[in-house]
Amino acid sequence: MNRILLEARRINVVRQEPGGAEKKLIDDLSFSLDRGQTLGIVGESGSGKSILVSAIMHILPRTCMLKSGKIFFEGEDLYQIPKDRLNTIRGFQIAMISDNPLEILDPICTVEKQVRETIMAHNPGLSKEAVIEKGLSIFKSLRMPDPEKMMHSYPYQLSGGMKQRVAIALALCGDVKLLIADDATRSLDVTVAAQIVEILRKMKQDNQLSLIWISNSLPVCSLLAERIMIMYRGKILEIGPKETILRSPRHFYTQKMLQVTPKSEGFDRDQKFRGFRVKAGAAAQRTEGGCEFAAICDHAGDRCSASTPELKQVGEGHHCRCHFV
Amino acid sequence: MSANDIILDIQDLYKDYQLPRKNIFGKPSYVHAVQGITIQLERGLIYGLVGESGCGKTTLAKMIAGVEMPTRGGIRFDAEHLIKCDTTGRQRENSRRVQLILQDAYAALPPKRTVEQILNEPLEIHGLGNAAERRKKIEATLETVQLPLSVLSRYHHELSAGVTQKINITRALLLDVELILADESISSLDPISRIEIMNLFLKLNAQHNLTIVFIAHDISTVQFLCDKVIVMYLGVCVEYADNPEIFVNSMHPYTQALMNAVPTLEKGLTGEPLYVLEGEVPSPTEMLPGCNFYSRCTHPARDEQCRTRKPALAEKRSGHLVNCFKV
Repeated sequence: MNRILLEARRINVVRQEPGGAEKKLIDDLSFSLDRGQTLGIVGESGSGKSILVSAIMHILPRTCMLKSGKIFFEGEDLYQIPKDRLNTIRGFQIAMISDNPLEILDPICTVEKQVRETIMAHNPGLSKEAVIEKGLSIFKSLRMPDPEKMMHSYPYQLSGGMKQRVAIALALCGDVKLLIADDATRSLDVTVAAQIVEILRKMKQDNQLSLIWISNSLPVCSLLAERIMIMYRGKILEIGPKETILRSPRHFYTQKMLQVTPKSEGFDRDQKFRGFRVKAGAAAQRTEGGCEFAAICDHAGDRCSASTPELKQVGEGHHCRCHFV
Repeated sequence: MSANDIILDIQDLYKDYQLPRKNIFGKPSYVHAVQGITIQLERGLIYGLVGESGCGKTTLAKMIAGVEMPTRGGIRFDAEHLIKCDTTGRQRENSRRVQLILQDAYAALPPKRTVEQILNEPLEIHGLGNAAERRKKIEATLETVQLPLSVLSRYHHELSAGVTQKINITRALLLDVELILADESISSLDPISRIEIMNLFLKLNAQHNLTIVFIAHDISTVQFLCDKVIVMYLGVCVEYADNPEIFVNSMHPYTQALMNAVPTLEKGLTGEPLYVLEGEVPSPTEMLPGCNFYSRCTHPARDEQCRTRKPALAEKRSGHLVNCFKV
């Protein structure tokens, strides 16, 4: 059996702007994910990470399209296979949770109805009792405090953490192989997020689940990922094993992110006036040509605004997009 | 410590919100959002107010800002009774000196006004200066927050969230604000904008003696920014201490659970599991007889006393207050 579960090859996603222009949302991006592995994706808003998820799930908005490149799941080209086949993969073998569980939960259905429909869609022959039993056993494996009560609830009656657990449960109903978690813990309280992270960690261990774990925070990403990919304005800036990215990153963006990240002993408070000098208003600027990051990079030189750097190998499984490496 | 140093004196503060009744014969039920807070805040410090959903921190901020009225108890701003203002003039003064900056940077600004119109408006309302003086003050304040003058002709929807939040802060500064309540003001910003705003708060605190109450559920920003930290759970203050004491020597079981659940790079590298605080926050519609944290507390000495009687905030170490019988 092929080791590679998901592969994106040189994908370009564009959005049609009013007036006929095309805006590049994802630029010549390639990566692969092995079975049982977790890829962490870190990027700020606008980096293209959510569009990437939509591209993988084949649910790009009307204005956007996969202009070129291919996405393979277990060797099948997701954009070439017939719709019936796609519908047996999407939502079942590849499932998704986001930072807003109400994108996945139907607000006018009870939890039970949604669980039942999802299980039945994937297991058409099962009896009603078997379906309910399977649902309850999934809930118990997610350590839901009161599974029967949960089943009879509507989403609005549940707290944020509970909704997210139901969303994960729905993903598990379809015997998922790849779970994409797009900023799944962002809107949750710290202690609730910890519950969700540990549930996912257990699922990884018990079910050999592959995970794409997306966040705008490096520490959150590092909790579950073996490899981390840093995205910025539609491009990969750096990708490599977690230890390498966290201990010895090569890209200045990654280095800056690490500077502003909590360590166990907290920030060095003496740094507060020396610290983190960022070019004022820099985030609002746009670059034409050249390295996307040059506008806010402390080390930017002439070469940086002139030409776009390529993604180069800088170590074992470690790639970086920068003229300085 | 002279009385001047206390900018905010909160005494036994309660806030209940009434819920809609199920039917006309039903008894009214209430959300007990704040269940007895007594605390004094000193001028010129940056306070962190930390707690998870439902702990009452936003309600507390709204009462301090004068947006909500307490059900019981009092708030004195700078030795005056905040809630007893019976003249419009006094209320207006307080609304100038105590201001709230919210999470959604765009929501606080009118969409069809330019930034210049938005910044002029509070100065006009408070009758401060003539047009030339106002313009001068606006330009000087924009320089303090490091925004270019070109921003004046823009509409806020054209600007990034970080820049918009700076405009919210500019608007507050124009009125010579003395106490800013920043309610999750940076949590929806990207990491670099977050640092910019945090550095701005530090500068304003150092150079203008601005008192800041910074409400966040992200512990790391509180750790960076705040001099003292208040931890809240289900409407009560469970711990109150200096930074770094509260992080290094947290004593309340809830604070400890909170700290151990925070993701850090070290935990990411070692792969060690986060501490999981089981269960959920009890419903705030019931006033519990004993400690609010009883149902989820794993302290080895937890007992009947904890379940049936309410502990009080007491000084357990110098300058470190904890609301617990057992520490």
